[in-house]
Formats: sequence, structure tokens, C-alpha cells
Amino acid sequence: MIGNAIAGTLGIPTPISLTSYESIATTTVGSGGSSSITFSSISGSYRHLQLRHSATNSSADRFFKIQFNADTATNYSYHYLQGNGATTSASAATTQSFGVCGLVPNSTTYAGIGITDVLDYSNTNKYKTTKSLSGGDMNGAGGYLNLYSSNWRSTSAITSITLTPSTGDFSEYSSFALYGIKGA
Amino acid sequence: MSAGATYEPIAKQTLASPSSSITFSSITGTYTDLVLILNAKTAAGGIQLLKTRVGNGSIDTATNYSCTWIGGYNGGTFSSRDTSSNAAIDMRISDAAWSSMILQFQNYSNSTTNKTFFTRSNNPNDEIWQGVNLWRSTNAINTIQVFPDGGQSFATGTEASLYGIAAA
Repeated sequence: MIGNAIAGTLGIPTPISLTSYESIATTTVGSGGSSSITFSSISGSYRHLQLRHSATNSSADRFFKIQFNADTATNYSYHYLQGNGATTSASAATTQSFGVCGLVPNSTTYAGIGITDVLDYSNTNKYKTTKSLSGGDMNGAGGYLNLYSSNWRSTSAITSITLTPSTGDFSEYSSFALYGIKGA
Repeated sequence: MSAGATYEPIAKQTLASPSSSITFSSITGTYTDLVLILNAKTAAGGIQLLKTRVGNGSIDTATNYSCTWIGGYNGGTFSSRDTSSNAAIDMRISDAAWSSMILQFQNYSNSTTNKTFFTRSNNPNDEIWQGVNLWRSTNAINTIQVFPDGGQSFATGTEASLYGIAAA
């Protein structure tokens, strides 16, 4: 498990607090797929949340939605920057019933991956903002890289997160892991 | 919901002299994701691509890599791709300034899917690149190598730190 030193000093990185970044829950989709993923009863004891995913979609290349506390009203907005290997583009949408945090390819072998941060998720004085990095590469079948930011216009502490493909299901072996980051 | 210690240091390398590559091998499969952080520059040669290879048991040098990236510079943004390559090529490094790079290998140890990972390079004298890479293999990744292109070497003082992230 220790790295191979080619020309240098081998050592262990400065230890970090082993409890400042904690795993909260992990979900892996079973056979048959799943129409959505929900993390519920999220403790308010952390400062920030991070969601990490590796996923595919049963339908077509699709973005997936993020909603908080089962709120499906038009309390969301989002914008993004995207590259597809040839051009860059950007867009935005307001007064939506969901935020956006990732793209999943229509492939069972080439997963789309992503990292979504929800900073200050339990603060009851602020609207909630997410930032996401998501992408996938399928060699000859194309690739994409997306940076998203979404806003949930609520000062409620986030206690649940629901992820839903815009169409189709998350395919078998898709995995979603939620982490909590403690404050000082 | 369960919780526990999660983000753990695995190994660190600090170069005492120039080196053509940095390799981490025999990486345990007990984590869910790996994070590799570099603070690096080349010893000479101007701006170069910084390439990544991975493998199981040994570094894969076959044309099993592809990548898609976006970037920005003093003039605009761009996106590009590379397919069926013998390395992931979507980072940049130079000898003029220290660059910071972050590589995120998600679901690296599963034996079901091909492996997808992020790369990000930030050079104050050059461009910022963010990429997503594919290694077409369902093997678990247990070795990672980064190396400058153009026959160049990492400069003395280059640091690479590998971390593991466990899931519940």
C-alpha cells in the first residue's frame, strides 16, 4: 500500500483529523435499476456535505436532478458550463422544480462520475447553494465535462437529498456516497 | 445512517532530485475513491502535457485511455478530446511556476465497470484545465503514474500525496 519512490523521500502525508470527513451513507443500485436515490434523516452535526457518484443511465445521456427535503416546488435555479470535446457552452434556468448536479451516460460500461458540494447545508439563515463537477468519457462515443451550480431558495436545514435522472433509471452498479465535513 | 473516519492519507512522495515520473503502486483496494494531489513543476522544457497512466499490477501503456477536457486562458475557453491513447493527457505543467493538480479516481477498485477519473491542473503562468478520463479496463486500479511529456522530468521539490476515501 505504500507508494514506490522513484527518486525521493517516501513518507506519510501530514495526518489529518480522521473524523473531520465522515462517510454518512452509500447506496449502490441493484439489478433492475432505480428511479431515484434518497438520502434521508441527514444529521445537522456537520458543516458541509459532499456527494460523490459513479453512475450510468438506462435511457440516454441524461442530467440528473437534485431536490432537498422533498421539495418539488419551483424553488430552484441552476446554471452550468459544459465542454463536449469540441466546444464549450453555458446556460441557466430559473424558477425550476429541481437543481442539476450531474450527467449520466447511456452506457452500462462507461460511468459518469461527479462530486457535488453543499456548503453550510444546515444553516437556517441562508438559501442553499450547490456546486458540482460531473463528466464522462466514452472513447469513440464522445465525452462531456460539466460544472453546475444550483440554488435552493429555502432557509431550512437540509435533512434529505433526492437524486432523479431526468428520464429513465439509474442503472445497476450506479453508486452514490454521501459524506459530512465537520467545521472547526 | 452510519459515520466513521473516512479521508485517509496513504502515501506521499517529495522529490529530492529530478525524476521522469512519480508512481504509486500496491494501492490497497479497501477505499472507494482515491485522491492524488500534486504540487509540481518540470525541471526544464517550458510548458508540457502532464500525463497519467494507471494499471493493475503494472502500469498499462496500451491505447486504453481517452479523455475530454475544458480549459480557460487569457482569451477564452475551449474543449477538446483525445481517444484511444496510451495515456490520459489532460493536464499541463511548466518549469516556470509551481502548478497544483488534483486527480480523483472514483470507484477505482470495482471489477465491474471501466474506470473514470477526473484531472484538474492549475498553472498560474498557463491555462486551467479540467478533464474527465476513461481507462478502458474493468480491473481495479492499484497503481498510478504521472509523468511530464516531452522527455522532461519533475523538478526537485515536487510533491505528490495520495489519499483514500472510504464509503459507509
